[in-house]
Amino acid sequence: MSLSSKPDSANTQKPLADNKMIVLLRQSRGFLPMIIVLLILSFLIIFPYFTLIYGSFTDIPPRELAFSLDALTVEKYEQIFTSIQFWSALRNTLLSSLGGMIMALFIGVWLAWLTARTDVIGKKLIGIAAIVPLFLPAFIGALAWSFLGSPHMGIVNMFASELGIPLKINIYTLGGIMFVFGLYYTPYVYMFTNGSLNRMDPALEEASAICGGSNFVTTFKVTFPLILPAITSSAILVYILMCEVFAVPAFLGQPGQLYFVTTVIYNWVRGAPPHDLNLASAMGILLIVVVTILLFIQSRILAKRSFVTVGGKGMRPKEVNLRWARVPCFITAMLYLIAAVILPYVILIQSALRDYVYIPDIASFFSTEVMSLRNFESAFTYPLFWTALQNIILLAIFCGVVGAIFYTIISYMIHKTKLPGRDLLNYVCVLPIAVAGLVKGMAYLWAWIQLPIGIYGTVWILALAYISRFTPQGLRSISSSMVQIHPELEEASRISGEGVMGTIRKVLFPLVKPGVASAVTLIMLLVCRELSTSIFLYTSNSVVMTVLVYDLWESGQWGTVAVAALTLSLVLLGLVILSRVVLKSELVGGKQR
Amino acid sequence: MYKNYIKYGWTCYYGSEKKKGVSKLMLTRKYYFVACAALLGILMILPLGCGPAEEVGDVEEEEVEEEEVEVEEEGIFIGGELIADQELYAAAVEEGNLVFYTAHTLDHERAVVDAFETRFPEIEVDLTRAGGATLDERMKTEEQAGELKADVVVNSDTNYIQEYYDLGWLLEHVPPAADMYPADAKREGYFYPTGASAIVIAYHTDLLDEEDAPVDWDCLSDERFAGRLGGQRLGGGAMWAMVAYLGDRGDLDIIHDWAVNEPIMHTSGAGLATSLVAGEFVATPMGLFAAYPQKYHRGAPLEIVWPESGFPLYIPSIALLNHGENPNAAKLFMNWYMSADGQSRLANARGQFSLRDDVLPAPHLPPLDQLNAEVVNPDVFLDADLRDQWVSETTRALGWED
Repeated sequence: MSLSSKPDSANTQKPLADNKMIVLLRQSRGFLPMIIVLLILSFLIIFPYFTLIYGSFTDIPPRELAFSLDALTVEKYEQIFTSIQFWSALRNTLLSSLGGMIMALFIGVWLAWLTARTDVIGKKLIGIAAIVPLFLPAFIGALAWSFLGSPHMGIVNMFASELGIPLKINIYTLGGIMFVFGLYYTPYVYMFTNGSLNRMDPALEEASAICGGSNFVTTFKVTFPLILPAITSSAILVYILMCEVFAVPAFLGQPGQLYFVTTVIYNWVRGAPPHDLNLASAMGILLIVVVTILLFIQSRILAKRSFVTVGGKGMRPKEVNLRWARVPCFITAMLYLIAAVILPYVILIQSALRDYVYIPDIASFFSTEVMSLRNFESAFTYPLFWTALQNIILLAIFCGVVGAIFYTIISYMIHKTKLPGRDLLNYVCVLPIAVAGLVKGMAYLWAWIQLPIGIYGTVWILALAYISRFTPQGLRSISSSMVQIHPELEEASRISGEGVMGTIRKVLFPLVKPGVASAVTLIMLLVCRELSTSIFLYTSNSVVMTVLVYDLWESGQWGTVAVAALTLSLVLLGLVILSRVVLKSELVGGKQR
Repeated sequence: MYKNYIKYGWTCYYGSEKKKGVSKLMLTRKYYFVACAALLGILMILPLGCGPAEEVGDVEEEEVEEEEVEVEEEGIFIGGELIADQELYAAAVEEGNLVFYTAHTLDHERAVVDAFETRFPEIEVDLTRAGGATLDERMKTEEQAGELKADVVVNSDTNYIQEYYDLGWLLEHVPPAADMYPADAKREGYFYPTGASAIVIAYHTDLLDEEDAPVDWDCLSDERFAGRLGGQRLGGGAMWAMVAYLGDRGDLDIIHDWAVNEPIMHTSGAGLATSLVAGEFVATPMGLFAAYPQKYHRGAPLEIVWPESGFPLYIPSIALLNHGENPNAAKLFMNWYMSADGQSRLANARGQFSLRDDVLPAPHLPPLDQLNAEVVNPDVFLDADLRDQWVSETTRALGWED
């Protein structure tokens, strides 16, 4: 027995060991993708930001790969805190963002309320008016407003003067920048607020009305308090976006000698000498700190979602009867459309057709004497114009598709697996939100050029930067579909004999397709509008349309700028139509569900 | 049953299921096509009412005489001037292209490059333009990454070119026309002057009468220009030339005094010219390279004033980089750039004066010896420490915080 029991014992222990091995292998099979994804994200996100942080604590230019503990110093931060320029830039940044935010809030909430809760005429048009400015990049709007609202010869001032209206605007002031911010960030507030209003159970408003509450009382004591978290959240979001934006302050701040945090960073890196890349890094880190604090506040507000009552009864809210005010209210919305879209496009088209822009009176505004196709000719015969156009279209499509696949994998790992490290994955993916585009551009440049991967000077560095930069937005878009899929569906598939891949292919992917399609479109649009990151990474071979517009503006070629800006708008429109046509099958798939 | 769509960072929906609590995106397909068609229509129809590109205002664009390329046994000649020997030319054609980094204004340099490509259609020029300081930072970054591929560089601030020389970045080459250039404007075998650029005063002729126009630098601090004065941010080659010139003659206070008029500042000379023409302000110190094309190429309402007490000339430089992959095409390009033909093109495009005696000034400009112009003292212009100090002082005086 003893002799025979020995092999038995060995036989029973060996399968146990095998089982452990299998478990380990199975676990490692799960780990492996996690490790790979984390490694990719380390390259895309963590390494660049580390380079930036390190650069802010040394005197060695961050583009030189020379890590040394001996070189660590806080001198740059001391220099910033003792610089008048920093405090001036910070004040301007925070103040202009505050003003812009207040204006965007007023207009956005107003438009959302009109479309969701009133019987105003032209609701569809108002809805379009609230969204369309998104298709005009804010910096192009700012460029157009530099001609519309300049203090001496601005078209608006000129028309006002001719019509005897005592109006004098100066766009090159903090107030002017607030105005442009407000115009182009209103759609974000509108989307948040409108969504919240539509999701809200109207029963509470009806209860208010039954209790004798007037429209005014119901709106201000019931409706708005209920959507307060959405309003506050959107307010902080647009505030952050305004703090981070580079091009608008660059175009409108410099003539009035107004510094902003982002323009100061740019000047220290690419502006007039002396350059100080470490100082720029430190400033970038301080901007990250400011934005992180704001994001923290936003997340605390979003945690209070219980404010909003989401009902499933599908009741139509009772519309506020505006009576005689139906038309005036519609006009207010149209005024917004005129200021944000129509006037800028009019001046862009005018500028594209003029040899030089000098419009002293109304007659010369309509005069065709100095008009020609010279600017079109100049743009269309400029090889970089076509390079930029080709690059932006290819990059948009590539980043849209590849980015969406990458974000889908990450989203699956975060929401549909129990892999250790998925929380870390989630945190790493939201990191780019806190970093301004300009600062990201510096970080990518200095980190990636140090690696012998040969991507600098090619469009690949831009592709990687965009995929990294827009990770939070893409992930958010896909995750919103991913989390809605109940685990029971996957379990049912597994019970029916499907493997993991089969379940993903046959069950999960068809259900998540609408979210992926949305992410593709979103990333394409964001890529087309991107300037602040690209401006550090492009070369003549990898120039994109936004950078070309900026460079042409710096070269004083306003007419060609206008042609390029109009072309960019057409590209944006074309991509929206393309995505709608191409991804239609995906959407139909979603429909069948 | 919802169609999932996207709008800027957030997933939204559109459709008719409002009662199910879904926000609407009102941009239906119909509106996309209407908007697209409208925009295209505007773009296509409006230009029909305008004249062709050549019929611009009353401006008479003076054509530079086209020079023929003569291929002879000794080499390639243009206007009788040797550009390259047969060996260099063959090697350049073999390379077929070159990478050219420049700080000159884009459309000026494009005109010059177009002329080169017309004469040498076998060689394509890949042109990149950026402001002087920006270009420098880009080159240093690319060099660090081992990705600096430029064959030729032009910078309006010769300090940068001098720095590249000190760093050992420059490719040694003596163009055939080297002797035509004064010794103090070049570093023989390495970098050469592209010409002499002037800093002048420009004013808007519709907004300022001739009798009220400024005649000298100190006039710009007059009360009549309060809020109506333009300026360019200091630091680049052109504006540093102005500071260096006035500082060297002990008149730095003149610039400081402009601050009382709160000048509207721009970051580039060309941008400054565009704003002056648009009527943002009525007068400004300005590089002639920005004022000349606006006035004489585009017919803009702008006049050039040669300051009575004198005005500075600065010398942008051209050099070849040993990082480039097309040294022969680069040498051919530089040879042509320094030739009478290339210099004429550059002069006409930029209103820049050639330092060659045999090249005429651009049309409408008087000869340089009839003007009270002075090349900025190179000891001052090339002193980087002095530049930082004076630029910093003047920047602060003009209201740009430091």
